[in-house]
Amino acid sequence: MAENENEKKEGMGRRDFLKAAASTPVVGAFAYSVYKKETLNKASREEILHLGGEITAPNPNIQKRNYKRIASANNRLRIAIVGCGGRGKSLMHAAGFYTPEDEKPRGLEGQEPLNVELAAVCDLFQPSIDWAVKASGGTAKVYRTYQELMADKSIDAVVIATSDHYHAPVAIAAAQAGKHVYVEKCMTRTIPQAFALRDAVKKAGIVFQLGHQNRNSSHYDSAMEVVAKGLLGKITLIQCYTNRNSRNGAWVYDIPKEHGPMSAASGPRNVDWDQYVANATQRPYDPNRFFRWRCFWDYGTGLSGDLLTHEMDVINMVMNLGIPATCVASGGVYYHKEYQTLMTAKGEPIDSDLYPVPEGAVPRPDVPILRREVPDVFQATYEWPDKDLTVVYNATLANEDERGQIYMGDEAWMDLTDGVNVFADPQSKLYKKLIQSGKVRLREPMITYRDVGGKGIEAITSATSQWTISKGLLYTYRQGRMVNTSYLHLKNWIDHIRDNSTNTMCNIDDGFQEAITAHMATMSLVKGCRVRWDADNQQVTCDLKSGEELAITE
Amino acid sequence: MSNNGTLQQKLGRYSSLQLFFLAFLRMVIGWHFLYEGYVKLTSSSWSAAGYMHTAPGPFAKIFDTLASTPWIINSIDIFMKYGLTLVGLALMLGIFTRLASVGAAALLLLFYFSNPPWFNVISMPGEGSYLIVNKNLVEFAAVMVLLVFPSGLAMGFDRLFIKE
Repeated sequence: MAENENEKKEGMGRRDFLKAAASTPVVGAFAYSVYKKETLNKASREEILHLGGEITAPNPNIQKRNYKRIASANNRLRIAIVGCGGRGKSLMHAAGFYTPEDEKPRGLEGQEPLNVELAAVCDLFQPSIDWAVKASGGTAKVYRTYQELMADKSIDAVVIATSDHYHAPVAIAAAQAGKHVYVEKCMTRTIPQAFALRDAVKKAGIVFQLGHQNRNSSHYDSAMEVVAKGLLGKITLIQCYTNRNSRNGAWVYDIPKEHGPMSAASGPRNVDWDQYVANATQRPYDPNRFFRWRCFWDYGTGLSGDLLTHEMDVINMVMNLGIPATCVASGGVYYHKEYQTLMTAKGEPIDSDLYPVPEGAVPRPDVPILRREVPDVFQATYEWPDKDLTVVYNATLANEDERGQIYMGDEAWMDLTDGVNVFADPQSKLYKKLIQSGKVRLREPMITYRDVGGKGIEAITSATSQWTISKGLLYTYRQGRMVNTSYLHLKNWIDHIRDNSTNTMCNIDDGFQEAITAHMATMSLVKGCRVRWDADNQQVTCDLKSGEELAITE
Repeated sequence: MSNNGTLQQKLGRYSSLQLFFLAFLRMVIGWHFLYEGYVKLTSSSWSAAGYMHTAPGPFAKIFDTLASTPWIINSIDIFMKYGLTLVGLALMLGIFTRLASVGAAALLLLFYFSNPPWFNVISMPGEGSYLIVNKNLVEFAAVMVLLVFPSGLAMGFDRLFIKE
């Protein structure tokens, strides 16, 4: 009996273990399914990448982007800020300078300190000067004119964020004084200034950086690789846009309550108007022309110098194009025609974009009606016949639908709006097999790169890869969230200063190309002709009706 | 000494068909969690931050703040990767089923509240139409069923732990 029981027990034990382990084959099935899927994905991934060619002509911008500081020297640099308005303050925030009243700039935790001292400031508006001094910790020296600042031998480098019409004069003075220069875009207001600044910077051998901090966004590495490998086929058209739909976006900035020229008999006297117009047409004081300078040709460069340059600079970096051969542009003031600045019944300024306008608002007597000169709808078409490439730019300041930046090749197209997305062309020969086999679906990106959660995700997707609808994948987390791109751009400049190298992320050659490209569009708009870049004679010309080409010298 | 006595007590009242589908439910949910965990573990840099920053609904601010603190989001990422994988494996094998079920239920509640299909919440468009009840909630209900039934004993390794 005992034996029987034992036998029974053992029998049950084995059966029991089998029942317990019944789930193991399921794990096996899982492992096998995952293995199959991975090999299929991997095959698709490799198939797509191998269709591209070898990189024959590496884009020099790729090496510039991956610059690592050589020298271990970390000497404290004395920098000065010339022009500390809206953009100037942002740059100073990025460099780590801010007042106790300011909200602490985001991203500072992730940023290695630059080890710079804000040693001097020059600005034409007293409150900006006061801010800069405070942000420097109280030690910054104040200079009334930039010439005096440049004579200060203790300043190593200058950050220039003045209105466009002073970019060149101040930058040239800085270069001639042997100081390194970081200047905001547009590099200059005119074509002759671009030549003059390039000469001055090259002669002085200083370290120069043009303020296109967007170059630091990490996804451009992927974009450049896609283009260099020929994955798009032959690119013949690139579209780029600017869309904005607010007064502030149209450069109708707020005007402070207290403002007035220094030369006035009474009043606030906090604007050095005389110096402001010394470099432009002499006019009586006009707050619109000082605080909303971007709306006027005397001081700003319009949509081409301000926003087109952002797009063209990126395209130039990704495609390594140089200055276009021709440009045709047009545009006008079709929306933001007139603006009356308002205040409350009690005399408090009202934000230009405040909606609804508070009851009892009245026009401000101290601010004339703003009639902008620069267009709010604008388009420019650039061509590089030797590369068979056309770039079309279109901007509107009356609509905010983001239209992105699209590179169109005969095999595929790349959209840089939200990270990097590459889609196969329905008529593609390169991807034909993959499209037919379903490994590449036309409506889904076959290559995608996004920054999610501050870390990069590089994924080659194929039709068989998992389709997730979650917002997490669609969300773009630009590098600018935890680490400011302006900080990276300033750091790139400062690293090069310490390493005694002039090959910054956006150096003087890049800057010269940007300026000429932008001004070609402005000249085409203003003169109403097709504009050409004559590389042999290094000049910009205008096609006249007679067939002649007239050199543009303004 | 017989194991069957206790097992018989626990499982005797269910038909083999009932036990089969109980085990099936458990294994299927386990597979789902295991694959989710596997994908995140093997991805070069997955992070919950993207989801958390864009979570809609009344808890949006909390998720956003949590995701903005480096040490918190790093902990959450590790917790997610390994949590999903271990819960999935445990459920699939039917081992430590009770514990795994509680873990699964907690994760599902978290997912549910990070994107609740409520009246005033605008969630992202997806496949299917949901109002209050969505697949996260249904899976949560299924996991609760696993919890209150002897799920680990039906074709699962928990059987081996039953002693007299």
